[in-house]
This record gives sequence, C-alpha cells and structure tokens, in this order.
Amino acid sequence: MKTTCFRSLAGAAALGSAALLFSGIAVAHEPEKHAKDAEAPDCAAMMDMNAEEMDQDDPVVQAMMEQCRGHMDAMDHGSGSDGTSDHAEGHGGQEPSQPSQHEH
Amino acid sequence: MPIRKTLSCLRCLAATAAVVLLAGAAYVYLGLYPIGADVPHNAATYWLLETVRERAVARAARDISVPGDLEASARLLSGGADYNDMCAGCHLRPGENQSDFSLGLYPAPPDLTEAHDTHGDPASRDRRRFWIIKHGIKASGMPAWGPGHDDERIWSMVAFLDRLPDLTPQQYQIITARSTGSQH
Ligand code: HEC
Repeated sequence: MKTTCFRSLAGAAALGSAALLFSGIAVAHEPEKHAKDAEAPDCAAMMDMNAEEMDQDDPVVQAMMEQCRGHMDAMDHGSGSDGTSDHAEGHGGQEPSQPSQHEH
Repeated sequence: MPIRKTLSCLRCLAATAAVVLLAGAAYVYLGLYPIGADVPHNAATYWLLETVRERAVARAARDISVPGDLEASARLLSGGADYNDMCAGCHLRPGENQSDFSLGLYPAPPDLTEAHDTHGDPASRDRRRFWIIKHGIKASGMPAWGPGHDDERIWSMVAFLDRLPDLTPQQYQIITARSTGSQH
C-alpha cells in the first residue's frame, strides 16, 4: 500500500523534473546562405523525363518549365518555350507547338 | 477510526511528496540527467515533450487561414529555392537518407521527403507546418523562420513541402536551383 503510493509519486516526480529540464536549450540557427552557391537547373535532365512525369497540368511540371524557359531555346525539344502563357493549352491534348525556326 | 485513518494517510502523502520533491531537486542539481543529444530521452520524458509540443502547436495553429493558391507553380519555385538553401541540411533532399544534422540532432529532424505526415486533413497539416516554420520549436534544432521571412514566403515553403515527397532528385534539382536561365 505504502510502496504503491510511493511509486506513483516517484513517477510524478520524474515527470516534474523532466518538465524542469524542458526550459529551453539554445541551439544555433542555421545561417541563411541565399544563393551563395547558386546552381543552374539541370534542364537537360528534364528532356529525358518520360511523358508520365511531364503532365502539363501538374504545377511541378509547370515550375520546371518556368525554370528552364531560358535554357530551352538552346535545346532541341523546346516544348512550351516560345513565350506562350502557362494556361494556353486546351484540353484537347494538343502538342505544345515546337519553335519553328532554330538557330542552333 | 476512519478519521484517524484519513489523517494518517494525509500525513503519509505529505511526507512522501516532500521526499519526492527533495529527490527530484537532488536529481536535477547533482546533474544526473543525461543531457547529451546522443542519449535518447526515457519514455516518460519523451511522451511529455511530444504531448506538450503537439497540443501547443495544435492550439496555436487552429485559427490560421490557409491561402487558396498553394498549388501554384510560383509557390513551388519560391518555396523550393528557400527549402534547398535553408532546410535541406536538416530535412534532407530526395535521394538522401541522412546528413550530419539528421544524425546528430535530438530530437531528430524528420525526413520531409518522405510522405509520412499523419496530421489530419491537408488544411490542418498545412496550418501546423506554417506555424512550426514561422515560430520554430523550443529545445529542438528547429529555428523560427518568422523573424527573417514574411508569411508569403513561409506559405510557399509549406506549398513546396506538400509536393516534396513526389519529387525525383532531378525534379527537385530543377525546381530548387536559384540561378535560372531567364531573370524575372
Ligand atoms: C538545424 C536543423 C533544422 C533546420 C535548418 C530546419 N529544421 Fe525543421 N525541424 C528540425 C527539427 C529538429 C525538427 C523536429 C522538432 C521536434 O520534433 O520537436 C523540425 C521540425 C520541422 C517541421 C515539423 C515536422 C513534423 O511533421 O513534425 C517542419 C514542417 C519543419 N521542421 C520545416 C522546416 C523548414 C521549412 C525549414 C527551413 C526553412 C526547416 N525546418 C529548417 C530541425 C531543423
């Protein structure tokens, strides 16, 4: 009887001292290193992605196209690179127009 | 008779409480708690800290309203670049399993490239994440990013986190790269 009383109180004390410990241990902030080691997007990798990965309605795909817009002109399969707006494509599954004249 | 029993029980309780308090204080002041980050908390401490964190975040985040445009690609670009610069060292990139931070911090930063967030519906998950990113978590390695970043930027990071588990390493690289071909 007395021992169980003791035990539960000891448990409570363990929790109590744990709470005391929880008072705030300072941790250094990771410094911001904006653009210090800026990398160019690897747009060539996008060319190798299969059609499944390139659903034009997917914001992930749209974001990649935006990132690579400037790079695409230099490449051969430049889908969506000719300055059309993001929402220009209809539902008909039309292929985005290929740029007609290449310099390279 | 019952009165005397009650009295003696009260006395016993008071005595035990005093002993226990003294023991607790001795434990703390003698420096017996293993405070190193390489020794995990015991189950009771762990439960206490986790419950305090989850209850406090849920309460603080409950009234935050989530912007309607979290799916926009511009969010992914803003949040992705920020994530790569400021968060990936602790929370990892697609294809990575560990970093010095993920190995050494305690509590360990969760791997945010894995889809294991079980915090209810998407809106409450987003609210929770927004709050944690903005305010950080005491006594963990998770900093508050609010002081240097406005809410819009933080929401963009939340938006990026929603899609992060879907990204391949290549997609991640393209979306998070800071220097784009075109400047705008
Ligand atoms: C120095 C390491 C570190 C950095 C840098 C860091 N975090 Fe964290 N983060 C943590 C730790 C540690 C936790 C877990 C805290 C805990 O369990 O109490 C955490 C927790 C989180 C959580 C809650 C995860 C969950 O589901 O419980 C989110 C969301 C998060 N961080 C987002 C970010 C974002 C976004 C950034 C960058 C702006 C960032 N973190 C930068 C260490 C870090």
